[in-house]
Amino acid sequence: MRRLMLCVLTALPLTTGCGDTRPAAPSAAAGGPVVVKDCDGKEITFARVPERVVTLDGYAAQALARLGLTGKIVGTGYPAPFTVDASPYEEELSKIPVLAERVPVTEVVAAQRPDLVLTGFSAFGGPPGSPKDADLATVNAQGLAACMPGGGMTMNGGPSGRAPLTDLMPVYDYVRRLGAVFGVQARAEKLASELRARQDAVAARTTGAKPRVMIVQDNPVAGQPIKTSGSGTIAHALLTLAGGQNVFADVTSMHADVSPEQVVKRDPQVIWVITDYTFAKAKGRHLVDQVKRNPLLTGTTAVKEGRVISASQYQVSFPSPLNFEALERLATDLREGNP
Amino acid sequence: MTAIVQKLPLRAVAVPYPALVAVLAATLAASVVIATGIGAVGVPAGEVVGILAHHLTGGGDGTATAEVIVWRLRFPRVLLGAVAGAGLALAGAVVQGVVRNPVADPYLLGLSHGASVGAVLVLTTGSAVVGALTLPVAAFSGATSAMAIVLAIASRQGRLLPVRLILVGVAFGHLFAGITSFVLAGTDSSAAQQQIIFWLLGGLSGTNWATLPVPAAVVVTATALLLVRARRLNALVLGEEAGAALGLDTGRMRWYLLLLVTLLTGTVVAVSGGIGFVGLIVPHLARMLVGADHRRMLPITVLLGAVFLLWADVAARTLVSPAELPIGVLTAFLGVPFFLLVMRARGLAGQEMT
Repeated sequence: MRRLMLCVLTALPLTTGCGDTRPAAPSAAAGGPVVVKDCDGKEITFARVPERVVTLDGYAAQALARLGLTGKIVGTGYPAPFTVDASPYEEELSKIPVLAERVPVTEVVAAQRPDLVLTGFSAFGGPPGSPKDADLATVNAQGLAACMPGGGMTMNGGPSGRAPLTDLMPVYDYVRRLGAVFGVQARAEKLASELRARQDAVAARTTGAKPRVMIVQDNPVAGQPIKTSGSGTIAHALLTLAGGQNVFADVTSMHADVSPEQVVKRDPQVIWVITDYTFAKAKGRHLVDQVKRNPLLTGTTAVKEGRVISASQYQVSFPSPLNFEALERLATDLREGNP
Repeated sequence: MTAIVQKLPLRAVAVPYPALVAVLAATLAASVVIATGIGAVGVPAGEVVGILAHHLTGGGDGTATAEVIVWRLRFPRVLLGAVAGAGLALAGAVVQGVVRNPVADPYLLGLSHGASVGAVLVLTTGSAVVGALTLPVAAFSGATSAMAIVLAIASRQGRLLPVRLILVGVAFGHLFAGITSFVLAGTDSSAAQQQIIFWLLGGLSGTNWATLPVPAAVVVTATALLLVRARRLNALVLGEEAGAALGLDTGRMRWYLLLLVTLLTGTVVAVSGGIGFVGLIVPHLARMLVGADHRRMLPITVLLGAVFLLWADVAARTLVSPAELPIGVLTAFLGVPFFLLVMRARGLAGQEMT
C-alpha cells in the first residue's frame, strides 16, 4: 500500500513511472522476455537477461553497482563520476576496464561485443561519433538511457513548454527499469525505496523560509552572460527538495545563460557553485574561492553573508544514486546560518 | 599527389590527362581500402582485406567482432565519405560556374543553413508536428525549401542573375542561421543542442549500409548529367552575351543547373551534415591541375573531392581517438595547407581564377 502511494505521488510528472515495470515483473521471474519503455515511450523487449554491458558513462555504472551488477560491466566510458563515489563502490568501479576517458565511439563499444549499452544521459548519440540508437542496432546491442522528462527529443521543449523538474523521479525510474531488465526487481525496489526514504528525511527537516539560491557553474566574466542551471535539471530538483528556491527557475536548460543585471536584481541569498564542469576556469575549492571574490557577485547578499556553497557536477548533473549525497549535503548547507 | 604537382612546369600539363584520371582513380580505390583499415579499434590489415574480399565476392554477413566493425561500421562510412566528398566538390564546381564567382560554394544559396533549420525543427518540436519526417528527410526538405525561396526571390521575370543570386543567397543563409540559433536558444534539450553541431559542422558517424544507396545514386546520376552538359557549362561561364552568342539559353541553363545542385547538395547534407570547404576548394584544385574546361575538370573534381573527404574523415576519427572530432574542423585543417601548396607549385597566386 505504501509503495503504491509512492508510485502515485512520484509518477505524476513522469508518465513512465512505476507502471511500466510492473507488467514485466512476473514474466522476468519466469525467465521470459522483459518489456520496458525507452525515453520516447517505445517498448524495448529483452529476450534474456543481458550478460555483457557497456556503460557509456560512469553514471550508469554507478547505478548498476548499487544493484550488485558491477560484474556484468565489460567496459565503461567517461569514468570521471567515479572520483566522487564512496567506498565500497569506488574500489569496485575502479576495476572496470575504461574504454575511453570521454564517451567512447561506436567502434570501441562494438569491440566489446555488448548485448546492452547503458547511458546516464537522456539520449544516445550526443557526443560526436558516440553510438546512436541506429548504431546500437547495427552492432546487435540494445540500449537503455536514463530518461529525463523533456530531455529526450520528442517532448515539447519551448521556454514554457513543460513543468519544472522538482523531484528525483528520473533516478527511481532508471533504477526500476534496470531492475526489470536484469531480473533483480526486488533489489531495485529496495534501492529505490531507500533512496526515496533519504529524500523524505531531507524533506522532513527543510521547513521554514526558502532561501533564494543562484546556481553558478563557472567564475563569471564581466560582459558575458552567467551560466546557471534552469528548472529542467537535476540540480534544480535537488535545490527544490533541499528547501531552496532557484532564482532562475524561469529558464530551463542545463547551461542557461543569464544576464548579470538579473543576478543583481534577484539578489540571491545563497550561491551554489557546481564545480568540475569542463569549461570552468578552476576546479573544486579554487572555483568557489574565485566566485567569492568575483566583483560581479560581491554585491549579492550571498557573498556579503559568506554563504557560498558547492557540489561536484558528478553528483548533481545527471540521474545517479549519488544525487542523494548531494541532496543531503545541500540541505545541511542551506540550513546553516539560516535563523 | 604533391609529387606529381611539383614536377609540373608552370603553365603546361606535363602528365597526360588520362594518366592523371587513372592515377586519381587508383588513389581513390587504394584510399578506400587503407582508410577501412584505420580506426579506433585496431584490426590487422590482413583481416581487413580478408573481410572486404569475403564480402565483395558475395560472402554472407557475419557477427565476429572484427567483421561487425569493418564491414558494418567502417566500410559504409568510408564509402559515404567518398560519395559525399565527390558530391559536394561537384556541386561547388557547378555553383562557381553558374554564379561566375570563385568564392561560391554549394552552401552559398542557403542550403546548409536550410538543412539545419529543417533538422532542428524536427529535433525540438518532436513528433507532434513533423513526426513522419525522419531527420535526413527533414534536412533535405529544409535545404530544398531554402533553395526554392532563394531562387524565387532572386529570379526576375524568370531570369537568374548571378549577383542577385549571391546577395539573396547570402542574406537568407544568415536568416536561416539566425532561425536555427533562435530555436536552439529556446530549447532545453541538450540532446538537440549536441545534435545541431552535427548539422553545422557535419559528420559521418552513424553511417550504415542503409544510408548509402540514395546519396550514391544521386551523386553518380548528377555526375553523368553534368558531364554531358560540360560544354554548355563552359559557355555559361563566359557570361550572358557570350553565352547567347554561342546559342545557349543562359536563363534555362542556370535554372537546370541550380536545381541539380539543390538535389545533389540536399541529399548529401541530409546524410553528412553541413561539411564545409570541400565544395569551395576542391574545384579550384582541379582547375589548377587541368585548367578551367569543365569537360576536363569535372571528373578530376569528383575524384579529388572523394579522396579528400575520405581522408578528412579518417583524421576526424583518429586524431582524438577514442573520441571523435566534427569533420568540418578537419576539412579546413587539411585543405588549406594542401591548397596553398598546389597554388604555389602552379604559380597561380598572382593570376585570376576561373
